[in-house]
Amino acid sequence: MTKRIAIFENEFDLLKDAFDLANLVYFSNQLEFSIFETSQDFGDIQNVKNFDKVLIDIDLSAKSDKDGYSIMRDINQVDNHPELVILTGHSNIEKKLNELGLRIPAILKKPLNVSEIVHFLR
Amino acid sequence: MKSRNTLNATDRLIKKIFSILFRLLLTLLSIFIIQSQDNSFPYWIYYLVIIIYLAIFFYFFLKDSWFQSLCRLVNDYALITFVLYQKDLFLIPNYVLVVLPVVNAPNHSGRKSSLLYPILIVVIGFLSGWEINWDLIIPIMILGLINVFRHYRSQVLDAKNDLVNLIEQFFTSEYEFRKFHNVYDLILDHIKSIKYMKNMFSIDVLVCFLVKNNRLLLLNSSKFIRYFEIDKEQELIEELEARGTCDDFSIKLMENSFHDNLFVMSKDEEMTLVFSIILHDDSTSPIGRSLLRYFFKPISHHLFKIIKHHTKIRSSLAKQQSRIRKQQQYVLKSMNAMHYVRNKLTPIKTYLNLDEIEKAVIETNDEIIKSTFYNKKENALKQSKNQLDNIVQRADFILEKSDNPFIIQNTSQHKINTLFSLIRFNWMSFFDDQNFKMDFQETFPDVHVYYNAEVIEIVLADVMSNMNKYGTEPELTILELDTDITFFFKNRISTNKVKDITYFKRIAKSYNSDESWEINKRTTHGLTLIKSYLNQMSIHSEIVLENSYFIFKMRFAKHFHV
Repeated sequence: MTKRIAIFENEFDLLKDAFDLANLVYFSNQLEFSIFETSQDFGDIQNVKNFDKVLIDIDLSAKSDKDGYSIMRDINQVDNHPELVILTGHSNIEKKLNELGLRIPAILKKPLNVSEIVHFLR
Repeated sequence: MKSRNTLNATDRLIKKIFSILFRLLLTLLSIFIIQSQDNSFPYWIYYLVIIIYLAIFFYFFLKDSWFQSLCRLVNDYALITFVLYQKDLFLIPNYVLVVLPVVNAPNHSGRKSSLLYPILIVVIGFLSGWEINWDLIIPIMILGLINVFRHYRSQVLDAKNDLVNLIEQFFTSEYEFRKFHNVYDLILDHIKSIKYMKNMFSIDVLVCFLVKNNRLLLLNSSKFIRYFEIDKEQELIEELEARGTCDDFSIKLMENSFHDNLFVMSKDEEMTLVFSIILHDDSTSPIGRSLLRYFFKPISHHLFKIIKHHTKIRSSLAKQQSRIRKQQQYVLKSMNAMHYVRNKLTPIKTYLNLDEIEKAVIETNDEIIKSTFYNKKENALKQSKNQLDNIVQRADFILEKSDNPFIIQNTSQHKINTLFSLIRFNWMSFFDDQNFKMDFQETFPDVHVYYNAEVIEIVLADVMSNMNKYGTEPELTILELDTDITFFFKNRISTNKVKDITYFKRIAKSYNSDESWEINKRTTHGLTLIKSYLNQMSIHSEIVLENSYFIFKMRFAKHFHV
């Protein structure tokens, strides 16, 4: 069964091979990735319910209206939203999330590793 | 308060000396009159009276109360009356003797000035047989008027000196420069306390402007002013440049217009200030204006020196802050660079994981998956090479000299005495004793050393701070040889369980080893920067452990002026 994964990331080119390999080898290409470089590219946040998982990079493109924290906050307002996973290079992300009063979701720390991606997408 | 008391004490001493001199003059003139003119009594009576006069004077001499100073005055006139009894008052020596106390009136140390003239009138009346003689009275009245003017002048001088002292006290006590405007309240309160000034003019606001690019910029004032407007601002500045003061320009402070003002300019080659004294109404007399001008010119000059001094301090602080900002920005750039590197490492990590993934691919036994995987493998290799290049480029950028605040841009020459003064000044911030041993050659007055003034202060502060933290008995030895001068910063090491002598030996070895410096600098506990700075300035440095002493040596090469 196809799983739809929304990925908020402005440098997906660097991660593409890792995600594609994970999808190819471990999910038999059953994963469908939708990439959004900016928050406004996604459109109505209620559409997040159409996805099975959402991966959010905290530092998005400078053109993005919202950063990863704000997108998280918006998604948390949606009833029955899918599971969130943060993609980040920040070492102290948990502290920052606490300061912002955000629940701490699963965190995928960069640089990414194929086996980690597989673990979080399963 | 101490300097004010000192000034008052000095003033009293001077008046006491003049008091003795005056009585000596009075006595000598009396003797001259007695010897040169016909007398009503035998000589011995006159000399007895003089002795009694002097005895009474010295009895009351050291006392300053009103009553005692009145006694001295009455004593003077008692002598004068006795010596001049039945003598011709129009003879010059006799007339001089009568008016001598009037001439001496400015030196009165008591409040007896107000009784001088009534006593004088009684004495003249008695000596001239109670006949009104205008030839006697008019000169005395003129002298009296002169004394009145002199009295007011000295009051203005005293008021000015008092104010200068108050201003100095304000700035020598603890205060913040942001509250500089409080000094204006001090000035206004002091002026209000002087009766004759209060009657001549009433000051509403004091404002200080900085002249920059031929414009007036508001610096501070006694009342908060959001905005101001001066008609003919350029003309005002030109007039002040020419005359120093002027008073016929209007100023608008927020909604209120003021026409009765005095502007005073104070300047030197580096800075020009204009003080504006804004008067309460438009009815200040010409005398009041002259008084104001006379009073404020030295006050504004005094304030100018203080403001200029503080401007220099703020400028120096601003330079330090600028340096700190550059360093902060550099740290931020470095942090951003690390973040960048993290992002770029994923393709490299992916490539390194490929062997593991390949095993999983082989197990699938799917040809499509296998062929897709091998294509991806080629792409992963390309990507990882590209990202490695990107990371190296970013590292180069961070280490680029022109952007690195830890690279010293220039050094300049300084006299050895300047360096020594700098070291001594910094030493006082950390230590209570100046345990200095010096071996200077005095034969080369034009000897210079080279360093960056700002950076050497950082180095000195760092070295002395470490001495203070890790040791006791601080000592500085300076040895000047023909080609160089070495400073030995020495103190006794304080050891504990964590930092024993081995620890300090390791520090010394790491610091001194140029061959492995690039490796050791990762663990040299803050000495990295000191050594880097000193090396850049070609100042040789070394750490020596001698018995239980830690010695930091800095050697400066000497340069001679021809």
